[in-house]
Amino acid sequence: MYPSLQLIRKDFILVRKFLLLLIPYYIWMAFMNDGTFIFASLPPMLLLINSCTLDVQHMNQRFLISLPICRQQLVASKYISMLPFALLGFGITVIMYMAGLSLGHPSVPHFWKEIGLVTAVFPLLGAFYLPLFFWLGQKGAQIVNIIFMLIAILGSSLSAKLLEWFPFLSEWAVDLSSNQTVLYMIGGLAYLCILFGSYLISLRIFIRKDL
Amino acid sequence: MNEVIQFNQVCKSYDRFELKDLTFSIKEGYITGLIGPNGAGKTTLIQMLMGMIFAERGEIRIFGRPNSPDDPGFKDRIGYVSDENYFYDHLTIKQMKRMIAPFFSGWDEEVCRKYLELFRLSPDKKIKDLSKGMKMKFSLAIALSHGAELLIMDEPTAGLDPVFRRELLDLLSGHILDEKKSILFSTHNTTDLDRIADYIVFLNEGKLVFNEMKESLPEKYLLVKGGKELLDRDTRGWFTGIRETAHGFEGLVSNRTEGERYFKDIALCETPTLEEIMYFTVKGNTIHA
Repeated sequence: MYPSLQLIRKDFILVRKFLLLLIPYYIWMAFMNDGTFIFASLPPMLLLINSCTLDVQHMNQRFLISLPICRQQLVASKYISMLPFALLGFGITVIMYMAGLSLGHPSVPHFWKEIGLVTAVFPLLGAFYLPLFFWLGQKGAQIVNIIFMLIAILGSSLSAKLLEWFPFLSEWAVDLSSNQTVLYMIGGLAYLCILFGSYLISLRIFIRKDL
Repeated sequence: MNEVIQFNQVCKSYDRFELKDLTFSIKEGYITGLIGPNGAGKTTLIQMLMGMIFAERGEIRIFGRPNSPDDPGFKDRIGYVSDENYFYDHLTIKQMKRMIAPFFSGWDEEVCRKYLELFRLSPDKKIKDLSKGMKMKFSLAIALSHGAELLIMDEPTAGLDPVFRRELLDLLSGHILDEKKSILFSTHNTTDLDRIADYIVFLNEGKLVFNEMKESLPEKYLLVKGGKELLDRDTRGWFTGIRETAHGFEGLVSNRTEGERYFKDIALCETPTLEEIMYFTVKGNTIHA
């Protein structure tokens, strides 16, 4: 198994208990079923913050450095781990939504598109969070964590309100027609550039950092 | 004789501490003890070896290759024991072990189980519930479970009870029977070194005092005890460190042959213990009791 995958496995071992805590959260979401897909990015963000916090809590980065892996793989694994975290958030939200549907809750026609967009917000948040995490380490982790949790919570609520206040945003999200392909390609490219730029910044910070 | 670790003019500075131009090597197939007072640079040195901190100048080679952060393969051949718990303490021993095992190519589950049993460590116990000594034992079990050719240990005997301390030293002596294996461990306890070390690396204030075979130290150093009237400006210069009391003095001479020639008939000349060598070297010749 590749070291980066082993590191992601390590993250899942670390956040296993936290995953259990998410069950009541999702049950509550399914019960409410009121635009709850908006919250698809919150649990993955919490998982990322949790795994990062555990890495610096008791100088655990020293443990990671003592393993036969290079620092680049440590940084890369944090970025790659956003994918399974996002998929987890996405998957569970879909399951809960389906469960809600089967229980007779009304269906939202553009659900898939909106949930897709909201899920994509999480790596974007992570792209801003991770360089700060690698830069500040244990010292500033708590403040950064609180700020990003607030962003994830308030951002999700705000997105829901924005869609409510400005229906054209929702229509825009739904209307993914072919004439907007170029726009979406540029958007996608910018998205990837932000992620890659963030990775390079994190790498530059962490590669020569004394732990 | 192969050198398993080489430091070549390694420098590292902090606000109030500096490692200055360290150049020495650790021999393959031996137990090397790293000694020095608190703040001498032992942990810094070990952390540099493990790639946790970086040297500002100079080069460190392990197994003949530079310990580059881009080439961490050498860590597959190293068993590292830290002086503080760096494992995830909310995990159990079993979970931690499961997390670590896939990273090492030579991981031997059976060996690990054997050491956990030997050290009486319950796999279901959480790391945070272990005592300091138990954490050290766990760290040691992990370090010994992947066929490491080089054990690097930072204060491994700290926090251990005398019985296990002795058992650990026996275990390390047994480990070294394979002549391809080497051990580097730092300690304050010179008794541990007297018991098992082949070589002693002595650091003080970030500088190398000596890197010698333990057996050769008595041939180099001399402890002189005598009356104060023997001390004048010239004779004081011969001493690495002097301790003066109301009744006389005792001092360490680093050139045994010269010391014996002068003091043999007029003072009491003894072979110093490792602790005495360390004490007088650190304190210099400014001590008055």
